[in-house]
Amino acid sequence: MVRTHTLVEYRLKEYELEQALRSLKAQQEGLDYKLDVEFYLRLEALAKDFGYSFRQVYDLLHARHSGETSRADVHADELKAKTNTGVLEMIQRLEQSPRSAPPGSVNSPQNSQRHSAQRLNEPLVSTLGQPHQDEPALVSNAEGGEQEHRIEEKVND
Amino acid sequence: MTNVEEFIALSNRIALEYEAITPLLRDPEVVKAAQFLGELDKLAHQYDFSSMDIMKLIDPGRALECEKNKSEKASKPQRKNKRAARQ
Repeated sequence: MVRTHTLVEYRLKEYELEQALRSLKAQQEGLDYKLDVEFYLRLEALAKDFGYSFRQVYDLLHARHSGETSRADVHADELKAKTNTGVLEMIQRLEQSPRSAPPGSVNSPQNSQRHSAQRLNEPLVSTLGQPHQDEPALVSNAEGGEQEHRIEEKVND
Repeated sequence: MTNVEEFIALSNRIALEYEAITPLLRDPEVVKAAQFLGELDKLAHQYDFSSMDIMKLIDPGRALECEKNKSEKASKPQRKNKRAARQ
């Protein structure tokens, strides 16, 4: 009966690790590695700027990542970045308009000019949302939604 | 349903969702997160990083686990087409 040689196994594993470490070291010379390190440092700085811990950053990304779209990850990423840009534009507009009135319901010529100018390069969400802001009847109520759709469609006909 | 009708129906739905998101956008916490994600997206694009890559960079253990769970879920697809259901 052959006894198992734990020390021999240990030495073999040690050797494998050594090889792996050596090849990792070699990769560290590469441009890709350096770019990644640069990104990591900038990510760290950005998180610090906003007062987020890495854990919080992970949670944010995770929350966005796991939302709905399960396939075509590359496109989903792009789309989400675009949606986020749209959201940022909406925030900007909210900041510009007075607190009480929703954006778009302000009638001053200055404002409407700005809105139409922005409408040109807005992403789909806010562009499609625009027309309704002149119609105060719209309530953000999911249940009433269907009924309103029908009314809207009649109007639009 | 013609394309135009479908477009109008979807547009109306988006308008409702737009209304719902507006009050949230006044929350400073939300604003901060959106701004952060915007900056992060820019940076990630510049360095060719996907969200998953960043998650792996930050916490490899958690990211791998998450990816595993996801692929398990994806292997049994049970998503019905919402658009079809509306008709």
